[in-house]
Amino acid sequence: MARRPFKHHSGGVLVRLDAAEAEHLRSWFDELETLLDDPTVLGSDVARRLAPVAYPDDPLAEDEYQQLNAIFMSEERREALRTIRQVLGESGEPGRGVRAVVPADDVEAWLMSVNHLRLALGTWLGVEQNVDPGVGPDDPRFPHYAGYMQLSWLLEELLTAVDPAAAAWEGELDGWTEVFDDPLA
Amino acid sequence: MTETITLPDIEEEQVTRGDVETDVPWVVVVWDDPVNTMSYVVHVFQHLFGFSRAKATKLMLAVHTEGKAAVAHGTREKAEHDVNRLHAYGLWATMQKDR
Repeated sequence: MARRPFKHHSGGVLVRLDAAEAEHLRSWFDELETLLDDPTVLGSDVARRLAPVAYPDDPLAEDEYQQLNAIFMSEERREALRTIRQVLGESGEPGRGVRAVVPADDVEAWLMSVNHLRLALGTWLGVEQNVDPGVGPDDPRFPHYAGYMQLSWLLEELLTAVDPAAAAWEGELDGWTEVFDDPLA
Repeated sequence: MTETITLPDIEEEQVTRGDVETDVPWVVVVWDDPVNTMSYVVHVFQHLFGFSRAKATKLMLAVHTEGKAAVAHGTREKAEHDVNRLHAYGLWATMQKDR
């Protein structure tokens, strides 16, 4: 059973990653940066899902919202990435593990970022509620699916660390640092 | 994900925040989507709106079972801010004039 990477801590969340786990997580946030650089990298459906309609009844207001929102949201997500990397470090530090307390406000950056990438992969995969997507190891979509499942686990681990009493999902993945193919390549 | 959105009829007040006016023109609607998890949506509702766990869970279940739920009311500016925050967290939210 994999050791939990996040633990509840007074005022925030304790992040504890060995060197391999930290490097693996850094690679995920590199993927997020790729997505922020080009929201269409996984296709237009994913780009639309990541920038939802606000004003379905008012095209003019919607255009204005999307123009302003695109700038604001992009900068906010990059700031979240910077917040994470202050703790996690940059890719290419393979010998460096992480043990640090992330303040509660900064944990939100982690949650948003992990969910953003998970949402992109889930949308790309066409995930449906209560339906097994049927993606096996021989399926060409498997790297994306494996990434989606791993991010799902990380998200729940984060939520559990934020509020242990609310933990409702007790799934564990063995060997979560197993390296999958680059899903955004 | 559907391209065409059918807006819900918001008939009853589902938000009881103390600072919400009773005669306000905009409502924020969160729509069900197959990717965001229940626990994540509950967290977002609690964090953004200060809802209790019980209230956040009730709203999340309304989204999940009914397809949508009104989560906030307010001026257009406030509604747009709320929608923007929900979008930042990856939730599928829209705003409409309250009828």
